[in-house]
Amino acid sequence: MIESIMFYVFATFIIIGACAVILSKNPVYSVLALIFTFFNSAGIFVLQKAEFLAMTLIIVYVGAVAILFLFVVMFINLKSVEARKYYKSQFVFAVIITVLLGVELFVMIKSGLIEFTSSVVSNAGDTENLLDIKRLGIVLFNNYYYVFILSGILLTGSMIGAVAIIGRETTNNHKQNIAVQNYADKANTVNLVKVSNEEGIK
Amino acid sequence: MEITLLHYLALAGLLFLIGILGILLNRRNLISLIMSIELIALAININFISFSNYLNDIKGQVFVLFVLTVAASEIAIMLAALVIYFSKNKNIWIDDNVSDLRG
Repeated sequence: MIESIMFYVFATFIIIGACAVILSKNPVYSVLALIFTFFNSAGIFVLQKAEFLAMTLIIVYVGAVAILFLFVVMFINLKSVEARKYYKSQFVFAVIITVLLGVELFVMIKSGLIEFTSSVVSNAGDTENLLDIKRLGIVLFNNYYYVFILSGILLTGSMIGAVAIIGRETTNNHKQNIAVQNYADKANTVNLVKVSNEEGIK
Repeated sequence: MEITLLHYLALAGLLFLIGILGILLNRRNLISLIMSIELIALAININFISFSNYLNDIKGQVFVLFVLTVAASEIAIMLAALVIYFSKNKNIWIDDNVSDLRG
């Protein structure tokens, strides 16, 4: 009983938050609605006995990704970019496409095309009464260790890529110019001033 | 009334549709587009976890972990490219300057 109440509360908040993300004019409000949506879907994850992933969602998404969004939104100063009107034909097109996709999903779920009866046995063996994070760790580090390593390589590559994109394009970066450093001499770098007593440097 | 798998699937499908609508409706800026992609990734995560709970198989949660990793790295690259785009064009509209894309 309490589970169904919690489900409906979280689901309502998720839908409201997602609508606020795509409909609000100000991007800062969009980012805040995105954070709200992530918190409520963490609640949905907890209802599904995935506590570790709920905490991971909060830490990774709310703590890193959404803050990165907020940083970029404030960094590029969207006040100078005025909002643009919707085109009516585009609105009609978007609504038609979305309704068609929704009808497809509804028919696919309702028609019983997917059988929800077969049960897949986990590779981890007798792990029924372990904690969620323990079962996850057993399967992750036994069966999917190579994918784990690959995701580490992916994260490193994306970090290097982001730094390379930013560092190459910015104009006033503090790059070391070795030729200028080598040809610096005393005449144009050091300025000797004779300071008279009780006068100071003007 | 008991909550079944279909409730979770309906929630994930609705979230997915909102993400699609956000992509198609969007004429304002690229940041809303990226946030709609995030919503779609979240819907996929909810689907994975629902089936993981339903089938009592932990592999769904393993894949959610990888989806989180890929989404985070993708966001980092996208936002870096967005900052460069803004510093060049002074706007982040989608439909201007599309002809600048080459490749």
